[in-house]
Amino acid sequence: MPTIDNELCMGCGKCMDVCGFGALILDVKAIPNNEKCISCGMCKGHCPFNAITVKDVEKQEKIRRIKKWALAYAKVNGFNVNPDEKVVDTIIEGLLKKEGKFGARYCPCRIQNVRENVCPCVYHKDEIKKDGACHCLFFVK
Amino acid sequence: MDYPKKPVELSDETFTETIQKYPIVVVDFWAEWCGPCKMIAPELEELASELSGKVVFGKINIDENQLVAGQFSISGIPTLLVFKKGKLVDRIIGFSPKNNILARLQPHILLSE
Repeated sequence: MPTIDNELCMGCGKCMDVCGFGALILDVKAIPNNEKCISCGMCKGHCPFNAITVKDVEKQEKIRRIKKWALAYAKVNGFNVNPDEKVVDTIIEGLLKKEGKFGARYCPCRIQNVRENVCPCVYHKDEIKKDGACHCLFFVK
Repeated sequence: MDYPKKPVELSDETFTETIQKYPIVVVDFWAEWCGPCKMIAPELEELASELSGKVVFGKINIDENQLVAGQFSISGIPTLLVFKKGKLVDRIIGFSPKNNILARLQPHILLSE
């Protein structure tokens, strides 16, 4: 479960937008739901106030959780995770590599390590609509 | 002229020399953990072999060579830059299947023949 620092949280709701499990609700501040949250950590890098902390787990477990997140997130947003597992595995490795090196899960197919490029990036929904897949081919129609 | 049949590994150091050496050079900007870069690589291998004598393919790892990527304002990968006599003439962003890449290159090839 992520811990949310109430001093830092401004209640912007960005974490809720990227959660695939509906595990966050907003009551002035973001409140995580124990029963729904799988601690995938995908919300962390999206918080503009760095209010979210997620307990570190070993790499294989992280990969498993990110995959679970991707499936859930795609489902609630009406698209799919790329059925090509090699592509998905490569991207997840890339996300973890960027997290280790630059502190957040920035898109491995974009150069700049800025908040807009934290996966799921600000572009993916438009790209899926327009091109049938996000630039990274992580998500497809 | 000695035409490679496979994509040539480029670096910040060898980039300029290579794009000026051949009439048409396609440079693939890539990184290890980019899914679509892995998918486009075999397409480019095939094109490099099929178009040998006409087009030279190069690949440059953006993690190890940030200068050239910065110089051409590469923002996403894979990006293919097409150079004709050392000048940038086309930019293909994201994964494209072989035939689409070929279709984009065809006019440049015809014009140089």
